[in-house]
Amino acid sequence: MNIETKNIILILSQIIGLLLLSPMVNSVIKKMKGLLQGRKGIPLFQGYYDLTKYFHKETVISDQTSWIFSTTPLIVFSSTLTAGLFVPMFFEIESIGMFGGVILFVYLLSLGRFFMSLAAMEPGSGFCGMASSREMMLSVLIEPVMLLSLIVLCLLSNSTQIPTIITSLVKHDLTFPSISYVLAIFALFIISIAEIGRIPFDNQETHYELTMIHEGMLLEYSGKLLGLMVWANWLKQLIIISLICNLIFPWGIINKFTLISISTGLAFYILKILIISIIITLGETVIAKVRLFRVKDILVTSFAISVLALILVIQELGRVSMP
Amino acid sequence: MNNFLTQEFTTPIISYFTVVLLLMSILITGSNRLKSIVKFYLLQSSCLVIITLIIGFSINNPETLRIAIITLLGKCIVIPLALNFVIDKSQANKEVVPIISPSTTVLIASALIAFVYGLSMTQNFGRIAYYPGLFNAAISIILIGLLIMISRKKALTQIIGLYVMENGIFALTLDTVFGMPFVVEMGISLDLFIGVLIMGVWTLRIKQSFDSIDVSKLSKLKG
Repeated sequence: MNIETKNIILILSQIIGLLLLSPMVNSVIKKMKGLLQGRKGIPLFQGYYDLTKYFHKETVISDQTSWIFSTTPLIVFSSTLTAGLFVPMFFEIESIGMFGGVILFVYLLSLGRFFMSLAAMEPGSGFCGMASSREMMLSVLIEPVMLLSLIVLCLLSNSTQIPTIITSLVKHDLTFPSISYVLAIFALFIISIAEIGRIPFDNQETHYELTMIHEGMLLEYSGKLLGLMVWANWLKQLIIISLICNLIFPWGIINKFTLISISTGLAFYILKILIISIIITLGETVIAKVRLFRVKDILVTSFAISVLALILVIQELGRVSMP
Repeated sequence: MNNFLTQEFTTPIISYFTVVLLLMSILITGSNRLKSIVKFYLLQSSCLVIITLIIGFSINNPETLRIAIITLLGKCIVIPLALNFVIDKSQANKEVVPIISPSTTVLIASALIAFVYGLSMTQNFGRIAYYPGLFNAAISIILIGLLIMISRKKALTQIIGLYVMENGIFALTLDTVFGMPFVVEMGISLDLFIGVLIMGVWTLRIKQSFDSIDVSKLSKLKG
């Protein structure tokens, strides 16, 4: 098998894995949350049931809207999926990360968000417009922190490719992980919770128009287009979770493909996702959602943390290069 | 005993606690609740105590160890308790009243840290400091304490700014001359404690005569 076909197979399996796993992860988080609150929780396959329901329903599009409204779900879905190729699940893909690296990753996610808020303003619904303005406010605060903390990791490992960052983290001395790495991961974790719209920042469960941010933008969508948007959101959640879990626990990324290594890699990956999901669920159960105008304080604090990480890493590298 | 805490061994540990010191001062500037500010101050002081203990053991100086015990008693127990007491007694509204909003203050604070660290890359502080990282952090914390003092309206948060600044000065002396002489340190601790007492009485009196502890209302004359 030559390298081209191997890469194609890897990319296809990554895409299929992301598509299949993402509804499951969301359902698992919801199920655990239900159990923690003393309810039975939803069935584990609820995500797939929801998606089949959406794709069997008729799509209604307002005649007041332009092409942006109907193409946005496709753009959001495909850009999120492309961003997903930059983050390894449990195996390395060399060829896809050849250009751009983390910067392209961050801005692919931003592209989807940009079109989403543009499309939310299309039908002229008041709640959609409000939600899209809120989403933009959050994104202005999320983007620099995400970029800065990823840049810290890039500087530590001399590469902008996420797989290379992860493998170089394994090689690092683990008895004393560099303090700037810890700070960057801390900031990245806070910002990831904001990015996937979880509780201190946004509540996914609510359907109360005045408080919702992400859900508010989907109010005018129906049928297949709604299904695509919801699926894209779950995809983004899985991608961010795998980024975080692979950066916190950088072990278990395989590059040799035997039956044993694939099964252990997969098991380890699922374990890592479960740990992060449990942390998220606990956070959602214990912490209350903060007021929208307090959200900026938390995000700016995490910005300051990532700036601190950047300062420390620059100083560290400066000391190394000055003998 | 003397040899296992070498400078190579302690430097990474000290750098961890140094970053916690900086992080706590950032969190103090960004926080909105008075109680959580006191908690962050308590954490910062405890980190300072741990740093003092490590330095004291590594240079085998009983003076530094005695200072650590005083700091533990004063900054980690007495002052936080007194602050919490004053908050419970005097504040109906337990939130910070800022002049500049917390998020802007946090941005200014991180700019200050960047400034200090940038300066340290051109000026070699290594000659006077035992741990250069701690030296930079100490100067940043002094500046941040000053920032907290000038950017908050309540008397209570202003005195917390003073305490943060004092923590910075303490870290600075620790790093350059391994802590002040015992008598001087006693004097400073006493000063801080008197400070908290006076502040408590003062806040309660302002509260009695103005129905608020906002110091900007003090510009009005009242009989």
